[in-house]
Amino acid sequence: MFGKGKRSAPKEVEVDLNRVVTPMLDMTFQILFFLIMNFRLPTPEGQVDLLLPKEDEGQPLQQQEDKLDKDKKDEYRLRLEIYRNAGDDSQGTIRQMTWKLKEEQDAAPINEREPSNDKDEYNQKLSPKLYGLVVKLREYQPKEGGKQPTIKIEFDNKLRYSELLKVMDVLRKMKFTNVGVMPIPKGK
Amino acid sequence: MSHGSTETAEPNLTALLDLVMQLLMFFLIVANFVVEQNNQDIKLPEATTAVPIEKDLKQTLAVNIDMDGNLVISETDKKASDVQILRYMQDQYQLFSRNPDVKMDDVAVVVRGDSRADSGHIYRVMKSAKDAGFKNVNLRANRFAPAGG
Repeated sequence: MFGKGKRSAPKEVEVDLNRVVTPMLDMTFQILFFLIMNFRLPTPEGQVDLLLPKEDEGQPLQQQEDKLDKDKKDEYRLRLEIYRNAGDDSQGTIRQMTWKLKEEQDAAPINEREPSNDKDEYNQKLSPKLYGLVVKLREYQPKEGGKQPTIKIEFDNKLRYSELLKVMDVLRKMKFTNVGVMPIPKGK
Repeated sequence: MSHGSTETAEPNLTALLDLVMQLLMFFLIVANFVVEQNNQDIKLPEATTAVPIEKDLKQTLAVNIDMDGNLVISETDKKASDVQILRYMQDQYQLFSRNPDVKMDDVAVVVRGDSRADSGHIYRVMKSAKDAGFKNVNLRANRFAPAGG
């Protein structure tokens, strides 16, 4: 009954691995294509803190780190005047910067300086206008732990935002922390 | 008639698959998924003194301002006038303040302004935020070397 017949060996089942892999590879390529198409290099985005103006202070916006000095003798105004109707790339860029004590009537223009002889790598890359500002600000630069002067940047409404940020960048680089921004008051 | 034996030549896909998987892993890890609030068309200005973004800022309202000075909510929704911008800020303030889990002092308005926009346009958005009741504002900039100017 049993054992007489020759027991047949189990059939070997061949699995074609290449066929199994193909759909997965197809899908993987699709995902890869999607990711490559949507890939954007991450930008090194950073933040610049600001404190919104108090009700009683009117317009100026200033940074958060230090409170404004109440001593008005230490309050300076940096006015940024721009090229208007230039019809070229200079439209909306800084034409001239002036500097004055808040209480004074007359503002002194800030002269351009060549940064080529400066040892600081950051300063070397600045434009002559911005380097002129650096030279001017050195007179007022607070010593470590010393009292911070208050600087309010008065800008023309048509000033390019990137230009304003460059000026703020110079001020922050020089450790001025009491910096506010405000549009040039009307009629002045 | 005798037939010659046929041989099939299959390419070895293993190495290719390894490579594809590695590429896939790379792109999955570095994928910069677009945050809805951050408009990627905005060309941020550069500031070397910009500090890394605070990760502990729990509540932020990101506002994007395009090169024409419009406050961009979405591709089709842009606020151009002072009144529209102020109303939007007031609405957002109301939304935040209705949430009992939110401390209004912790809410920050993040201004992502296009570098080509007028400073006056950026300023009016900041002022609207202040007028609506927000207390914290910070600007966003790319942390690159200075480009002169």
